[in-house]
Amino acid sequence: MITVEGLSKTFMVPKRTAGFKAAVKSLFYREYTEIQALDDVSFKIDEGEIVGYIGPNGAGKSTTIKVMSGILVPDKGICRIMNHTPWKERVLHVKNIGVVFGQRSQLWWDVPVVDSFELLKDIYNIPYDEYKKNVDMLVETLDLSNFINSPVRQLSLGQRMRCEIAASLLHSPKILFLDEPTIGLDAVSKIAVRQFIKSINKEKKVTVILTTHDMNDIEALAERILLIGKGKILYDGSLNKLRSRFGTNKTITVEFMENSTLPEIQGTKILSWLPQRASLYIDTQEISVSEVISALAEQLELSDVTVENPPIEEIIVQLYKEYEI
Amino acid sequence: MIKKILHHLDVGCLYLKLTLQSQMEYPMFLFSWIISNPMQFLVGAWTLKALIDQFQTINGWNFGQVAFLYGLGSITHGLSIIFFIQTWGIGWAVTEGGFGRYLLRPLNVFFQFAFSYFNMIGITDLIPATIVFAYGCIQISFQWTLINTFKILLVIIGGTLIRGAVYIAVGSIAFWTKRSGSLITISLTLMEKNVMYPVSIYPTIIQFIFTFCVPLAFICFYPVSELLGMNTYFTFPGSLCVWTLGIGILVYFMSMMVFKKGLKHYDSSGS
Repeated sequence: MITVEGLSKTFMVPKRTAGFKAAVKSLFYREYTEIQALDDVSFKIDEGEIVGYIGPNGAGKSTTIKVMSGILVPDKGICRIMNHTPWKERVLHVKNIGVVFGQRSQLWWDVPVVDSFELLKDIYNIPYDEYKKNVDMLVETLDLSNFINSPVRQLSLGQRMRCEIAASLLHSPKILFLDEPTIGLDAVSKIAVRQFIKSINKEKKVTVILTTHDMNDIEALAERILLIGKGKILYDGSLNKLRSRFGTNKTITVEFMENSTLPEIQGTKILSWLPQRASLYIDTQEISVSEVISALAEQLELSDVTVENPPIEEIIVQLYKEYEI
Repeated sequence: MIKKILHHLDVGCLYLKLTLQSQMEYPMFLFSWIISNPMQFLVGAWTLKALIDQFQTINGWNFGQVAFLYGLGSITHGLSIIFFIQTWGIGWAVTEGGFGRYLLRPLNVFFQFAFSYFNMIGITDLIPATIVFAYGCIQISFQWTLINTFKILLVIIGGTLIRGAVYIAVGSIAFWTKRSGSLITISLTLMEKNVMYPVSIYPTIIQFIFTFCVPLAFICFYPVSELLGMNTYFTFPGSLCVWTLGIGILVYFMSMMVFKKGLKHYDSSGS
């Protein structure tokens, strides 16, 4: 459905130094630095996938999304999306996609949300029946009915984001690009947005590509992640694989009956030690979880055992460190 | 093709509706606009008076003829403001990353950019323009024959297109420079000056520039010269009113090429 091959894009950014003198100087002579936003990016995405596109700020996530949605023209490389090249067959291509930029609105600021929807209906030439069906579905599942008649400027960020997502789906696109859809949202809105993305992926078979800095989004939604750093794809694969590669440690928390000394176990580190409760860090390459538990059980009368994976954030930080991005 | 035009027309009407709706959200703004409307008219009338004082005849043009020229030029000015004023903001739209949204929609980008916000101020420009033009028509007892009416129509369309093309071409420079404000001011002043007076008062070299380099003299000077039977330094075969329309269409398409080239250069700032 989506094929990207050898995509490269550089931006010329004028070098600037602070201060008035430098500003005057830049009037006459300007140095440019070349920034490689995308460097030989290649991947394939199949129909019905949800792909999490992650990477630190300035890694090239938004640039990739903009190339794929036809806003930017790359310097070189191939991008075929449903048999169209976005920047060459823009009009045909954009009918197939929906795009939400979390930091930028596509709705009219001063008119009720529903009027913006009506405009989109006209722009995309959506037949009345289809429009009606889609609006009803979106209003219900995204719970928009309370504010669909309010001007956009009066909405909260969470309400606005739900409207943005609805607006991008009115014309029944096959592919949805979400650029930081949960940025700045409260917990309730975040969960609502995630559930919705999941359901349209499942029920309408919409392919979703989302960028985010919130690893909970990735954990909740994406089977597959693409990691980009300094314009290069560094990792392409499942989240679980990434976990097994980097998440070679676990945390075990035990509760026990009486005070006693904790045994020294090779391959573990004591994180906390309270009467009746202790946390241990386990390097699973040195010792297995069951060995640790049995060693503990020999010494203590255990009442509860919890084994936890490291939080995904930690894995990502480790990953960024490893690739020095 | 017809279906496509109807679709654009349909969307254009909805844009107009939403623009009005947005503006009515701010009643005080609307109110100040209604106040400024007669002000515009007064300024227009004052310019007329200044013209009466200034010119008895100029290079063989009497006041009625100059008023005719000035009025017709101002009408195309008002129309170009209504249709093309958005291009003054290309620099702003480029730095704010505003073209992204238009590029995502299955419609012509320039159409969306130009018509997503109608400028009502242009209408207030049209009022004094029409009055001065009507005054000129009466002064020189202009004959509204079928052929003359048709020619005036050609000049209005052609002149508006030439002005629009200049706005588009100059505004599009912002795709490369990110700013184009001062250039627009210069081009506007040039046009305003050129339209007010018969171009024949200028030295030959300036006339040459306004005719062959930047064809501003075709906005109204050449066609009005034909309509009023005035002599021009450079002569052209055929009707000058048809030339105005032809040049209008030509420079409009040329300016669209500049716009499209600029759009390819657009680098969508921000995240």
